[in-house]
Amino acid sequence: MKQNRREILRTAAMATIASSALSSVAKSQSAEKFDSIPRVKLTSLPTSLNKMANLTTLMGGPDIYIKRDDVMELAHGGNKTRKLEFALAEALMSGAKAVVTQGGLQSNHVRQTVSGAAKVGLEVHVILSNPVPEMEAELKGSGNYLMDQIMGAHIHLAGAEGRGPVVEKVLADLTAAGKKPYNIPAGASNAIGSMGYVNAGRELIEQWKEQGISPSHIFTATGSCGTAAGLLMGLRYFGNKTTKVVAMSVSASADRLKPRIRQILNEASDMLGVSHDFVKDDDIHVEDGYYGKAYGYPTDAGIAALRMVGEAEGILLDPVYTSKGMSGVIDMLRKDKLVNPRDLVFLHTGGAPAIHPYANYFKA
Amino acid sequence: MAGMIDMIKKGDLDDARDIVFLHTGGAPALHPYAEYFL
Repeated sequence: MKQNRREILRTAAMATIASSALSSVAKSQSAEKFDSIPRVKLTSLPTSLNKMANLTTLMGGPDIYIKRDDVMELAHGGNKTRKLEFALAEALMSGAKAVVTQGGLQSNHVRQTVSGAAKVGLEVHVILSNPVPEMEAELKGSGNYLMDQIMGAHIHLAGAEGRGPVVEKVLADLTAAGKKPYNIPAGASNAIGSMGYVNAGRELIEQWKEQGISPSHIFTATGSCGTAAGLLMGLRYFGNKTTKVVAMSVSASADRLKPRIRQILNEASDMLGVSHDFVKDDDIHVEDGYYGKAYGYPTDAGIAALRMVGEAEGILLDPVYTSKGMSGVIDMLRKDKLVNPRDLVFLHTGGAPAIHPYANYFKA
Repeated sequence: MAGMIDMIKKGDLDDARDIVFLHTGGAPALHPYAEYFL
């Protein structure tokens, strides 16, 4: 029964991939290469781009906008939905019957992958590890972990051995079972996943034109680097040469993130048919002063920023990514660290479901 | 949704077509009810 149902869903999803490839005929020359990359529709786009008028007033500086990638149609949305439009299309085209991915117990990427796989009829296996050992009970008690279970994920927990060996074993078992598993790396942060944010770059250029703004900077919380790399590539590929993409680290130093962003840029360049120096090294900007102790450990400034945006705008950030990113934007504005800031854009990459396991950080 | 599924199974909607379910939201309450799912 379940297998028949998935077969029907996969066939329907495949049909939408074929039709989107045909519709690319009318697109412009520069977009042709990009539009030929298979994509399966998982959400309605564009997402909203709104001015945060109250936060702008509170900060007393340049206008601050928010790109609402937290509002998407895969369960509770987030930035991975855009990446999965490309990764799951590739999975379907490869004939996979199962998809495998990995992340922390509260991974937003994993939750969106589970949601997307259900939608297109793929069995989904997820390998989860615990980045915050002292919060084991909370991280397994609600939030994304709960939602993964509700949406039918096969959950494999990795312990001290790390996720790698467990991923290998799950892939081997699924291969032996004839399911041709498709493996999506953590965060879908590879070339194919980054295409989701190349697409977002094109979308933003169009929205900025419509709204008559010309942003000096766009900020994104950054862990596995695929969003930052894809966004930077997308803006440049579709003709924006001036808006700085600032990767706000949530987990590691700039020395570690810059080579990773460079690597994804290079792979994306190959996919788009441009040279590796199409995006220059000095166009990569990472801020690493705001991530605190490590991945998954909220910061005081991040929690304060989350509350501030919640009270001022009625928008929920998340405790692991966007709160740290926003705390950096607020700090840089207060200290006047941004050069000629204008029409600042904050990319909301989602993650609010993780507020629940982190509830202790908010109780009075 | 449970009601709609039951009605479909029992044939109450056999003359219906293109049924629409209005999702009125509320998923944030999954978290306090987590023990029903874990």
